[in-house]
Amino acid sequence: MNQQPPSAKTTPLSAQDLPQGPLPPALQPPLLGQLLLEWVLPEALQEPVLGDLQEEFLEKRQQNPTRARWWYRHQALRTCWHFLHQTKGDWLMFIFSLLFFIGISVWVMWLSSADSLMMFYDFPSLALIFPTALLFAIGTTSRTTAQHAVAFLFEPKPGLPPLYYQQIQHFFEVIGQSGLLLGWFTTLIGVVAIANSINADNFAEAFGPSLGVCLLTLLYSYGLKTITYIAAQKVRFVASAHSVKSDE
Amino acid sequence: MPQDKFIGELEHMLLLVVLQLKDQAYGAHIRQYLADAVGRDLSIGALYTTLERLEQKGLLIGRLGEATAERGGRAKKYFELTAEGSQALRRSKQALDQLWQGVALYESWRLQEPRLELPQ
Repeated sequence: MNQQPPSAKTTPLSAQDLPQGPLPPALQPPLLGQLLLEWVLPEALQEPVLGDLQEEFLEKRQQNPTRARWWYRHQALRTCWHFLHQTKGDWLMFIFSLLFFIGISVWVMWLSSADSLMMFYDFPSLALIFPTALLFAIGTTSRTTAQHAVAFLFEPKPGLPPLYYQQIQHFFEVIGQSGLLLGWFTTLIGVVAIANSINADNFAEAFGPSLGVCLLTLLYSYGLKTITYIAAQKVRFVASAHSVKSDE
Repeated sequence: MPQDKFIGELEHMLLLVVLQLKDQAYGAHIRQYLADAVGRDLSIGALYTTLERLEQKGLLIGRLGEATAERGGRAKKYFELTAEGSQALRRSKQALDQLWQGVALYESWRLQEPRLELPQ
């Protein structure tokens, strides 16, 4: 600890030391850290916090560029940890609920499978449900709506026009509903195929595994429907929460 | 004494640093000063959380200043003590001084020292 009154800055950096115009990439702090901070920090604090960090980064960079970069990353992570619950609490809860659902589903599959979890995996069934449902949703809405929907999952922004939320909600509803219909449709295809190929000799061997694979499409479609239902409800909540605030 | 006027240790330190730095009290300076003076290396996030809390309590007032090249064109946020902040700081110091009266930490530690010896 210093006995003398400390100086406010150890190695001050003036504007004359820097090149004119935007800073070159070599003088920029780590981009990922900056993006993370911009994502997590409240809007009012972005300017002072990012500015302070950049200023200190440039000072530290004069002594050791590698250490300065690590210092910036460390500061970005510690700062994000401070503000994560404050600014992204709702988002974290939403993601946690989805992960919890997926985790519990995998756990139940593991409990019910005698051999391995692979009995719940079938690539053709996955390919039938997910990409097709996504294409239907983009086809019935638009690519922009799909981009907005993905952006909403990462950052549910309140305060946008009601039409914006309606379109995103519609997008999620179409994915879920078309996924469900596709699940039933492909299951029916499977049932027809089983019914046509089954006979008295191969009944025990063919019926069980074939029906199992056939029902996987239905399983995937209900999983997709559940997730998109939650996403659509989240959109609805964010939109209604904003309209309640505006009314007040 | 009204209870809501008491401040925590970090709040106390930050108000003092803002006083020390006068018109140069902004995030990076405050953080560096605190680290140099008392060896407390706060993250910028923890610093702003506390500064914001002090602002909400009305003990500090913040204003956006100039944007400079070394900050990537971003503005500084300067902090200044309010009259209420000075009063809270004074009250906190008086309370601590009062509690410190008659306390000799080093001697009381030495008195406890023989108790740590194990019996042979």
